[in-house]
Amino acid sequence: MNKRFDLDIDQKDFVLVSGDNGTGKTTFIQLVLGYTRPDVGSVEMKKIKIGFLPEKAMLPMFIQVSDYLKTMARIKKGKADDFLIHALQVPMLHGIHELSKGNLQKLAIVSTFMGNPELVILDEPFSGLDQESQVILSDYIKMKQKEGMSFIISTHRPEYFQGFANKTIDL
Amino acid sequence: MIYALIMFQFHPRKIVILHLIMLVIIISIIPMMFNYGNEDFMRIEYSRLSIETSFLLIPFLTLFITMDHNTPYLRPFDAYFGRSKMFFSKWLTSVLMYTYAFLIIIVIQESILTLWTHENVYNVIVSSYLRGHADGLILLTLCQMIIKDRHKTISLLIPVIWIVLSMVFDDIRSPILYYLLPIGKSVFSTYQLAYPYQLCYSVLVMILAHQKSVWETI
Repeated sequence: MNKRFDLDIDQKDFVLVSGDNGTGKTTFIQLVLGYTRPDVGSVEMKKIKIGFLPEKAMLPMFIQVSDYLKTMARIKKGKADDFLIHALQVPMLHGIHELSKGNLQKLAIVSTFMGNPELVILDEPFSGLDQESQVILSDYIKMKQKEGMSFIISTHRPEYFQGFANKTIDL
Repeated sequence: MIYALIMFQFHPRKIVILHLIMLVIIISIIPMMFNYGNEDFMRIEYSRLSIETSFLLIPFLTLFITMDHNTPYLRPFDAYFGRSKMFFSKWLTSVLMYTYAFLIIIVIQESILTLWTHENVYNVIVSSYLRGHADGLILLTLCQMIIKDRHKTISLLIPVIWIVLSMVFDDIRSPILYYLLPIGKSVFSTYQLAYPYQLCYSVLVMILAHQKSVWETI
């Protein structure tokens, strides 16, 4: 990633990161998360709770969905959003290893929003989701932003958030 | 957090395998008991062999416990809880699981001997087991520092190298080597201050592993 820019992210900010494959969208997210360090410049971050949804949903395999969510609720001290679970139709009684790619993504989305994170970073959130789930998720994100959550979203489908993002990075 | 790590990392299949490894360590010593007729001789040999077996097999048990610490599904946890908290939670989970396995192994092994010889032998060998436990603590912290998910397959080399080093340290009696790596099998580990030194060493390795875990690129 060779582009140079300054970016401040405040509460309720909605940062939309777009660009072609290989332009550095995921690298940008990793820089924000502190997973990698910049060669030039710096990233400063307050100590806040970040909900992170990676490009490829990463979940422990040999556990039931309901047990996973219960455990997550226990450690993040916040329940899973029943509205989101029902709207996305997350199969609660299956083992995670039995889930399809789309359902894995849905479960990862639900767990990302658990525990009321101050900043939510979503890397390609629509990956594997059907059209209906994409609409549900984009509406949910807009609702959460109104409630005060900040977002950084990297996507190939910026049209879902047109007119909604207050900061845009085109890599 | 520790509860969650145990739930996610030690799923039922892994728990079954862990107990199978423990069972192998425990029963591997039993056939040797039948080779010794004299009870006193058997007690000495059994204790020696059980410690030897522990030194050989426990590094693999340690590896088995720690090998999943860098799995990709824990990365979102790093973002939410912070890398420092995640490191200590993972380390503590490994220490708890290792201590659990270690205690079960020595209690069963020594109970067999106590039942066999009608003699309480716990006091005699407790210091050897403490050394073995500290050995495991150092090794599991090293594993946590070294093992990465992308090259997990070659992590099997770590216990092998550890065992080879144990054998080398058993033969080469150099205090400098012991200061560099206080392996419990070295003759110097019988010294009075060896066990506190091993514990301090494992804390030092833990601090280094923590710094690495916080600053490294993932």
